[in-house]
Amino acid sequence: MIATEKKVFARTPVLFPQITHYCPGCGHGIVHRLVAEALEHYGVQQRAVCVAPVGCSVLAYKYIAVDAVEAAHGRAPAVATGLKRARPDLFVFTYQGDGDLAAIGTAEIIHAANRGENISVVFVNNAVYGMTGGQMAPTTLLGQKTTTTPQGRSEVNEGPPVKVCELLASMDAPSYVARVTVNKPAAVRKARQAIITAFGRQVSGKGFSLVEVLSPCPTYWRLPPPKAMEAVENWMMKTFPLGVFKNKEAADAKIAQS
Amino acid sequence: MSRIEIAAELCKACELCISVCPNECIEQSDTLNRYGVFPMRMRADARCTACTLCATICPDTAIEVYRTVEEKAPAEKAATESEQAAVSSELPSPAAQVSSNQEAAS
Amino acid sequence: MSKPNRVLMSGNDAVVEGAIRGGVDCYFGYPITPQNEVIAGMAARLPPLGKVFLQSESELAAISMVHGAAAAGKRAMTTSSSPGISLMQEGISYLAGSRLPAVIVNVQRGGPGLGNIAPAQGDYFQATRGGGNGDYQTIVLAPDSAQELMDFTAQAFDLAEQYRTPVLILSDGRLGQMMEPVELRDPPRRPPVPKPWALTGADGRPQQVVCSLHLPIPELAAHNRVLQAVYREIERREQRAESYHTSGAKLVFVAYGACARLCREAVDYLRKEGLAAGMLRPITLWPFPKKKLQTAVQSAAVLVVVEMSAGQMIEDVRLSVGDKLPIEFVGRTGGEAPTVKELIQFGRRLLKKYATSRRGRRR
Repeated sequence: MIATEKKVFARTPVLFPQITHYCPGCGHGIVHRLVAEALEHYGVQQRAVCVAPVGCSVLAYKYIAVDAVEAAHGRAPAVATGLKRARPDLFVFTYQGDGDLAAIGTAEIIHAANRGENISVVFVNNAVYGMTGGQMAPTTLLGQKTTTTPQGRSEVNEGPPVKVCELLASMDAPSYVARVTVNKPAAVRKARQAIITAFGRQVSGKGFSLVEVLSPCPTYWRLPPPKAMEAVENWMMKTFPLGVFKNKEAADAKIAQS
Repeated sequence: MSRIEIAAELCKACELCISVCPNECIEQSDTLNRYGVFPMRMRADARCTACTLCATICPDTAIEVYRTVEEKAPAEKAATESEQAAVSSELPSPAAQVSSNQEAAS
Repeated sequence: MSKPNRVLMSGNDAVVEGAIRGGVDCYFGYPITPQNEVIAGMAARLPPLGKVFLQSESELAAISMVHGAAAAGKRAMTTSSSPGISLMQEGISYLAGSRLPAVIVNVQRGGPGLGNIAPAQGDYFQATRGGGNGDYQTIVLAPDSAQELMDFTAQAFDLAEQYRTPVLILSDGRLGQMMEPVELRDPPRRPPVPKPWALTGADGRPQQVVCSLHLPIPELAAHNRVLQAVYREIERREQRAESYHTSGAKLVFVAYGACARLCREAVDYLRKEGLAAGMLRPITLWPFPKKKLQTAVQSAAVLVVVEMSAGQMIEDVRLSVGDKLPIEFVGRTGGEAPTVKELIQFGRRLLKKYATSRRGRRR
């Protein structure tokens, strides 16, 4: 008998060999890897530009090995619009958190989506403002305690959490809008597929795509990482169901068939 | 045996890998890395199947997975194949076996 | 000899013409009075030239779109008016901190707040002191005619790229709306500056990052020293002003933009009466033309600063000349402006008062 060894899981070269500043168990690291693998999948890393947000992932460009520009808080979709209109041959994606995209950047994401900008948006939703120390986010769940909702988020005072995928899916222009999670390996593989699908829309010039990734924040949920992953499923997903909310290509195919 | 390699200087000891491994292959090392973390490592006696669940969930992409496939060596393979051919030539063909069974039954 | 190609156009139209001649690649903007002719002109003329035009959802978005296009190495610009420029302050600070070239035109209107749509010069502080956070400057140009609006906009892109910094053109509602003959001409070009920093994709080269974030303290301190060095160089090389009959003048008006036009006429009238009046017109508001001002007032007994504001540029005038001579002020807000007649009468009174006293004695 001879034994042959094959490497079946390798770290993609589109990630710098660099430890990240993210907390242990933070979902950002997983999403960074999926983004890097999707860029590698299409071979676009050499013409890609990442628009980095303000938030925990402000230093995303230290980890994802592509050109990058930092945007003002919330303005990443506008910066991406400027980049893509100026250089349509570049692969332009934004990487944003829930404060960046759904609070201060609400206008920019809605209008970039509405214009059907041929960009890809990776939206990491962990229901809290991590970088600034755990304040309420637009996606904070009802009853969730944060430093600015010490009694728990109340519908009467703060309103319910904002559901970005549902909001954007109501528009005509977006090509692909999906919500996934990375709380267990099977989910990570589905998330990878969704990001690859989304990036594929830009590569084939099919317009705007957004993937919302439900992600844990062990630090501000005050849970150890494995428990935080469980909480994504048995707590976060109750408010934010997974699914594909808009898929223009599938819809077009259906129409073509009928 | 299949195995994993965990980059000690990338691991943050979040223990997600431990929580997903179906075979309890991972334990915490007792050597500090430069960030003051006791990183994870594969157990010496681990029965790893290279399922890659740990690498898939690792937020730091600190794990690489090596699958070991046991194959027969070419000489062994040929010997086994000729053995199998010899054995099957001694046996009646399935069709012949069925008709002889039917004959025996009637 | 060929006739110059002169066309009657508004100052706002001249901005569009200048942008095209200056090689604009991308225009992003949001409507606001009194500069809507600019965005309409860009919408009509840029796409047929294969250039990018997009009306953004707000001024906040517009300046960020400029940021993106500039990061890709393209010539990007936006225009707005005072309240919209206020919204862009964060974006301008980011452009300056990221060392991105860009052109921004402010067609000033009455303030503060929503104000009105009449012309004003109330954004001088915002433009020259930097309305955004941090230690930065933008080059500020002050045209006084449709011709200069065209010429300065055309030149602004080269200037911005040479120093890798945003250039702000301070126009106002009066200059923007009035119609004047403009000679259509290309600007004198500066030598092109390569852009190795532009984001073009990490193809066979290391990653480029355009950012203003430098978390480690020594890094940000060093970055600021680089910015300051650039600003010192701009101050050394780019001060511009027009000296109008300042040699031997006893009274020197100091004014820019629309006010300079009024003062120029007042100077002409006073000189016809045999009075020694002149005007120093700053063309760059930042860097403020200190040296030219100091030279212009050598024989002066009094300065008259004229602004459509409550007094902003006057501070730079005081900083430049100190207490060497009295500085009088004519200011109007809300869209009001002094008349030429008022300036002449004031000039005569001042010359009587100051020109008979001994030079250098403080009043």
